[in-house]
Amino acid sequence: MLATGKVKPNPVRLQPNGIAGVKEGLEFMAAGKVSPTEVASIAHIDVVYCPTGQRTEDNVSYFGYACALSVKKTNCALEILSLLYFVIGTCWFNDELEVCKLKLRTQKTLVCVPFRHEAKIGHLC
Amino acid sequence: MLNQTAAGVPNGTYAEYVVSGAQLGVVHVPDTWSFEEAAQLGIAPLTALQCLHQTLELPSPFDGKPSPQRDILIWGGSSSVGQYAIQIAHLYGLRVFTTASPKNFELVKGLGADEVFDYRDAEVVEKVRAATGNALDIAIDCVSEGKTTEQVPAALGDKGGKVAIILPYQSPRPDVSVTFTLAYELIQPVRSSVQRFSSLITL
Repeated sequence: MLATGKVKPNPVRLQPNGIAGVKEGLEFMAAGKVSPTEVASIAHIDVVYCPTGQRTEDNVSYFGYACALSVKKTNCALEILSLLYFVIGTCWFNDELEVCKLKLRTQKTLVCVPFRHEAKIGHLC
Repeated sequence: MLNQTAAGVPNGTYAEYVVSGAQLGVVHVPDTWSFEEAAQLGIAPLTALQCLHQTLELPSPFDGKPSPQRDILIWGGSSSVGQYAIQIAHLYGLRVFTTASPKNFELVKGLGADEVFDYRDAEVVEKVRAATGNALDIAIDCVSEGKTTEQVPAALGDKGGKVAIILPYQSPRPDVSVTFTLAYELIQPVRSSVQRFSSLITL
């Protein structure tokens, strides 16, 4: 469906300034300037820094809570969280481990591996 | 998919490298989609597919189209899930009824909605029931909070039916079943986080 072009993406509003744009985007919505559910992607997150030793999942959760509390009862919070759980990049498979590895397009990100795969990440990289 | 641009829903981002199951959650991003647009592919379209095929038990997209003239109500058609649900339902040949604010009527019609109702209309439920001959039996509630928890089940016909919901609530009608689903269910390791998150926003 995607390849044929029969399904189109939602309109996207792109906030500048990377992760800092999330706060601005939330304020934009809070001001009632846009219907929350129309916003599919409010920030272009290129670089997100995690504290050393912090579990990736914890950071995602904390940020999700922050978004949830900021936008309160809007469905847009789900969309924001989905963005945080989402990565895009170049993909390749490792047949032996039956996993694929996605490398984000930015090279400026921190090294913070998904903790559930710490045992494998060294092999993959 | 080797060396192709891909999008997916692995467990954990915020990382230079992430690992995902090979059979789940990675799709090739069409060249016509920007990175920002592709960021939508993780949750909303998958949730729409789960609503249509798991909850409402509509035929798989690979099993052919459903019977002609079957109606579906997609409440909140201009939402992210709603926009994908409209498009996919339309592709399957369903007659799509949806709600939106008037400023988004053209948007949802352009995606394939057959009839659009203003969700603020005090008589919107009655209008949907009339338009569907009181025979509507499937719906997706893309808002799932506030008035919609009453309105969407009420819009179904006299024989009841099924409603796919994206935030949990109880059905106000015994003859209408509501089933909560989100694409996050595909990624079990983060499910507990999502449940906590959902509880926060439904306080």
